[in-house]
Amino acid sequence: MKKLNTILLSYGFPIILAMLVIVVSMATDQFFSFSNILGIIHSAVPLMIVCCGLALVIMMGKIDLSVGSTAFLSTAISAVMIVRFNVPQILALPAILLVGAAAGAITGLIVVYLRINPLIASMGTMFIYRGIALQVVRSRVISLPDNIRNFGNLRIGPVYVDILIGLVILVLVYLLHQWSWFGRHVVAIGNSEETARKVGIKTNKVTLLAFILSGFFASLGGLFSICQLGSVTLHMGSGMEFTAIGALVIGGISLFGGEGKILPGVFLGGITLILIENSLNHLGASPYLYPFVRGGVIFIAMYADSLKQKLQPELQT
Amino acid sequence: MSVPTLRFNEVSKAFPGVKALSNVSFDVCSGEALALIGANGAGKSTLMNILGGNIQPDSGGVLIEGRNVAISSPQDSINNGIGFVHQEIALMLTMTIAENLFINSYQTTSIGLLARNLMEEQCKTVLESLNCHLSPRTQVKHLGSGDQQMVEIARALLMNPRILILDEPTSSLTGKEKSRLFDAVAVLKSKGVAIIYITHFLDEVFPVCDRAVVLRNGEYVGGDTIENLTYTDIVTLMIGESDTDVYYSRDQHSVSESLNLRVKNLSRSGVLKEIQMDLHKGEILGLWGLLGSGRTEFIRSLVGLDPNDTYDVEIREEKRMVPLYKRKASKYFGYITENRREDGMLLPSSILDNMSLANLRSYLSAGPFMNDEKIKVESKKYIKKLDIKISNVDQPAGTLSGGNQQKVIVGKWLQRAPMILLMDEPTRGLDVGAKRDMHQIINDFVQSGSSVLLVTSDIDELMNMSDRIAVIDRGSITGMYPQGVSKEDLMAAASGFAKGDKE
Repeated sequence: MKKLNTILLSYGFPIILAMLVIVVSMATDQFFSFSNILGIIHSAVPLMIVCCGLALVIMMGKIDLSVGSTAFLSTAISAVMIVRFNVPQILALPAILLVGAAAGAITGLIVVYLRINPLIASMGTMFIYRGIALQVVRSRVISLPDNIRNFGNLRIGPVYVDILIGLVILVLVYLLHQWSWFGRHVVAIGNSEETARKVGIKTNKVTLLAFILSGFFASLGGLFSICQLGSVTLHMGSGMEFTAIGALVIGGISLFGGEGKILPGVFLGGITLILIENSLNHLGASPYLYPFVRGGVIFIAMYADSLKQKLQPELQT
Repeated sequence: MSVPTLRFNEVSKAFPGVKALSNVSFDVCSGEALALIGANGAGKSTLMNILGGNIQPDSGGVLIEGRNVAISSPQDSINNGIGFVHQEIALMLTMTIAENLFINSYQTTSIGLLARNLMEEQCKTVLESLNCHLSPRTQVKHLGSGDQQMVEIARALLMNPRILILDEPTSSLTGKEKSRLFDAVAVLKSKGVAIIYITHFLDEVFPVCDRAVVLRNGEYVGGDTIENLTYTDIVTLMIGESDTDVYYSRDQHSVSESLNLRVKNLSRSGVLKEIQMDLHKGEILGLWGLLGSGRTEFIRSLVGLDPNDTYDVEIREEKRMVPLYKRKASKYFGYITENRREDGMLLPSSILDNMSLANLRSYLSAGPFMNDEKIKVESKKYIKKLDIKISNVDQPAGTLSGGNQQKVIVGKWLQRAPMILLMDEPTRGLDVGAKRDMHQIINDFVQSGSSVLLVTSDIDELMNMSDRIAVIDRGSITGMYPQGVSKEDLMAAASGFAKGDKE
């Protein structure tokens, strides 16, 4: 019995996901088509990339709410550079990542050196970055040159190029998490920061680095997003932090820290949320239902996470 | 005799107000296990902290293989071949054994990825040398505490230490796991490692160790090979002679026949084993046990703070004994915790807030609002009664001296007048005067027909104050003694020896 519980808790989401795919495929015609599935992955790529960096922070038992605003701020600066100041794209687009890393570093420094709770620190930077970004774009939507949009929707055969790039990034971050000292120290801090410090891990350095990466990947996700959309809107990245947290929890990355894997966790989590919306769309549900369903799914995932934590001592023996 | 692996040479260390170590000298040789024994506060931890590089001695020093070495940081300690296995397990539960072993010294391949195979192989070798057949890829959270302890030892062994310190290594182990640990110690001895084995449990000393050294109040009081020692010798060395006249002696006893509390069975797997005890009206029951014996856990379970497997308790309601339900437990008990600064009081809050805290409901005036005037009057009454020295009642509690803080906590419970007051180390860290006051307060409290369960590490206090003394050892009550029992009997019962039998 205990075994069954463990299996359900560990693999519950893939099972539900599979069931959902089957049900929706039977109910509608176009849903279970190769191109629709690729389309779903395509639209999930920016979210997955944002999740990559955030996952590292969450596995440390901390949180970064500023990822959405960081994506907005970094792309906004770059878009203004391109459109208003005619900066060459080859310079302006990489600048996105620099701004992102810097934004992450600021949040990280506040957490590490001012000893402010990450939730509060990143909530502060979340508002501030969005505020700056709105100033930068002067509260107007900025459309980007066509070549950027064309790149974002470029395909090789039926496969979007950004899916391929996204997968490579996921694998790299997986290696960083699973196969590097940095990734292992992140997990160690997630287990217990106090113990990690005692065994000699430089917790401040690792924490700061994780926040920098969180900002970096947030802006990279932003870059993918503007490539797909061809513009920087005023809602860019708004609410993305919560979608990303939800995706991570669905992917089995525990908010308690120390637990979870980039692959398949981030991939599954990212795809689940988009897939649910896509299926609602195919079922002809009202768009107003989406946030409700998304909330429900996130809640269930969080509850499963907390159940898992509660069962932990029993599973141990 | 050859040069000892480790020698403590006239080590002294004083902390403000306490002489923690004075001129301690002894040797540890290669291939032997030395038991380091002493009651709480005897100086064992200070000595080990000096060895670990966390504390610098005031005078004297450490010689390793005849050379004087300066250990000024934990890293120095490792470099000198000293390995530590700490009492509490410091492992990362969600990580594998190999990842834990190498946590701060990951080996990487040429492209910067972890050299897992290499590390796992070394990890396996170390584990095998302890006769521990675990896969290095097992996540630590799936291991029992015995195996976790083995992993801790393996981590210490990875550095190839010449000296290994085991600090209370059996405190979380079952019988079977213990014998595995003892086997591992034997293996290490045969490899020429010098082992310092710190323990409260004397029954472990005889099968495991070759020699024993006893500290008391920071002084070396004796040591010999294990063949030349009996447990009585060790116990006598541990307790020593002390003058008891500094303690308050009770003149009135008020124990009545009827009960206030009957614990029929309190169990929690791995922590408490079928605890039974009665508490009479007007009685002070002393609970004696060494650190880690389960005494604090028992109290926490009794008041419902910790989970239980069985909670079968009766309490006096008017004239009858009725079953006590766990969620109602807080109604009958006052609980003075062991760490007053951490969970005993609200340090930044005022004395008044602290004193009214346990009894807020009775200070309601109209509706949900507090009657501040009543709180003030009541609290002042107790401040006077307990002779708490304060400048004014709005002063933050954290600014008071330890003794006065403790009185504020007691005053908080006395206002509530609980049927049973559970006191965990109520006089720890207090000076003689404050201790006497506290004893007087406890004595007066039971005169009214309430009961006190007194947990204390101070054996003289225990013997002076208690009407009866219950001994707890590794989660079970191992003895119940009347007033006037000898220190030796108490020490023996708490250290795992039943009365009379010895090595």
